[in-house]
Amino acid sequence: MSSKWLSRAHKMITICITLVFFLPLYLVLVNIFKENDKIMADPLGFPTRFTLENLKGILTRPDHLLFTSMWNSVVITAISLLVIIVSSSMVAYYLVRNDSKKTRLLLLFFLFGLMVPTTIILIPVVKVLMAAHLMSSKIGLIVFYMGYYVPFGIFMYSGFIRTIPRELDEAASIDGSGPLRTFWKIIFPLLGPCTSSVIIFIGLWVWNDFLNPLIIIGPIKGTTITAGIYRVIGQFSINWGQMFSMMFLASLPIIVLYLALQKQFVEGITSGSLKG
Amino acid sequence: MSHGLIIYLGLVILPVIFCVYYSFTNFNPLYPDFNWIGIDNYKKLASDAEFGHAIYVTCLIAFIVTLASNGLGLLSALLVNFKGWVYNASRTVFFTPQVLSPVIVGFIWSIILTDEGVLNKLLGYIGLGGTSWLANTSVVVYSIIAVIVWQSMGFCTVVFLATLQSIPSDLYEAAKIDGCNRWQKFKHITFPLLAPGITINTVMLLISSFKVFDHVVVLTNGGPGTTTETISLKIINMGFNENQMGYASSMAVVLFLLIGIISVVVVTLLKRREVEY
Repeated sequence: MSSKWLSRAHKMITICITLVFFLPLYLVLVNIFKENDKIMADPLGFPTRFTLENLKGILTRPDHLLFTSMWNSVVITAISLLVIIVSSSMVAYYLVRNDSKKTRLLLLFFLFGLMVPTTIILIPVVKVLMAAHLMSSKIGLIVFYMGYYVPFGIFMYSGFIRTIPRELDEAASIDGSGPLRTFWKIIFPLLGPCTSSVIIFIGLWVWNDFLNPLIIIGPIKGTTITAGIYRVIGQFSINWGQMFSMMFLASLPIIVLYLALQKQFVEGITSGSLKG
Repeated sequence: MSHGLIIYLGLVILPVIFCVYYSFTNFNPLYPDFNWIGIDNYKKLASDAEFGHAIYVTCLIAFIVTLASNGLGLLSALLVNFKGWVYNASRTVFFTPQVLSPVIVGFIWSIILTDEGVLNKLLGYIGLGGTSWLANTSVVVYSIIAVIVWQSMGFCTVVFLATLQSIPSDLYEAAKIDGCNRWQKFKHITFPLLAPGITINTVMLLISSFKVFDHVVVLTNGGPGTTTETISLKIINMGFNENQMGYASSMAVVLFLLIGIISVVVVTLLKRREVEY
């Protein structure tokens, strides 16, 4: 009897704490559908009259900010992920399979990059990108992400490739497959769990990144969604309904992905960090 | 393969070297010529009270965020480490802020914390007077810390849950036979075996909160005055707004050394207390 009560109490406490924790997100969700004077008067109340004006206001902005910056973010994130995955998995494979003093040093040299915060290198990075005529462009930002996140990719992949038996490579090479073909046909498909961790980690970092797009792409054109929000949010200082709608729409893709692939998210993060 | 290496060299290693080099110059993008000025920048830094304050603020944020997120993450992991839809839903909620952009989290909380904001209204309902959470110089740092903790706690929860599930259940059975109570089980089995989780959380949180930038820019932009300026904020302002890139680079070198030293010390200390049963 008492243990039943205990478990019920435990459940109630969990629900209460979760609700309090959820409050800021609830605030966004309910106020999207309320008129502005209602938001000011009673920010936490449930909407009595649903309105879609706030969402409409954002979706029909004359400058199409949401669509263009969202598209930019999608392009930048997708291409960055692609180049990072291709190059870091191949580098890691090469370094792990050709074990020697030289490659071990090279691996350490790459891992050094994990320790470098962007704020430290941003000033010289701007110089380098200017010299390469890549400043103020999406390509510049993508190239920067590639250089900056390849160490993380190598770190994840090199740990994972070590667990794949070498006999697989040897069997393939006896059957006459070259190293490149062995990698893409046999090894890379086995790296699936690692690749999904890399996609989740780096995808989140790139999508949510704020400082680098702001400085590398510049404030005027072609911003990403995160930098775009920062730029326009001042316009809504009194219009909380539109501000909440903007934030909701900007995070929607990531929230949907998270809810749909929750298991992979959690596994990706824990396997990446616990085994790494 | 070689592309990866060249881009890494060009955009990470070269900039690190340049950053160190610039820190010994009076480099300013508005003037084409700049000179080697030796350690003048570092001398100036040593007597720069505002930079000292930025180091203090950054360390305060890093220290409390790491402690609080670990503590609350552990409590919440113990709370939801059960089967049932309530606990699953609760886990989902705890982790959600982690996937959001710090900029968006900052904006949500700035609406909650402004003078006419949601928190003060709520406090008004129950008859308490609030304060200016983002303008009162004695609480503003803690407001920022609270926001960061809200966002990063879910990461700790998830890591702790995974660590908890990796503890073999026969240890608990043995403890039961030996007549341990709940607290003894936690103290002698759970807590020591959580060590790898603590190491990961601490390292991840320390590194990320030492370079904290987004939250601060959105919530206070370093204000009121320079009360909440962190090292990263100072580097960016000095480098890109005041154009003193040489001086900003010397700050960057200090930040880099700080992060390097602290991560080495913390990793060695925490690794030493990890145990294997």
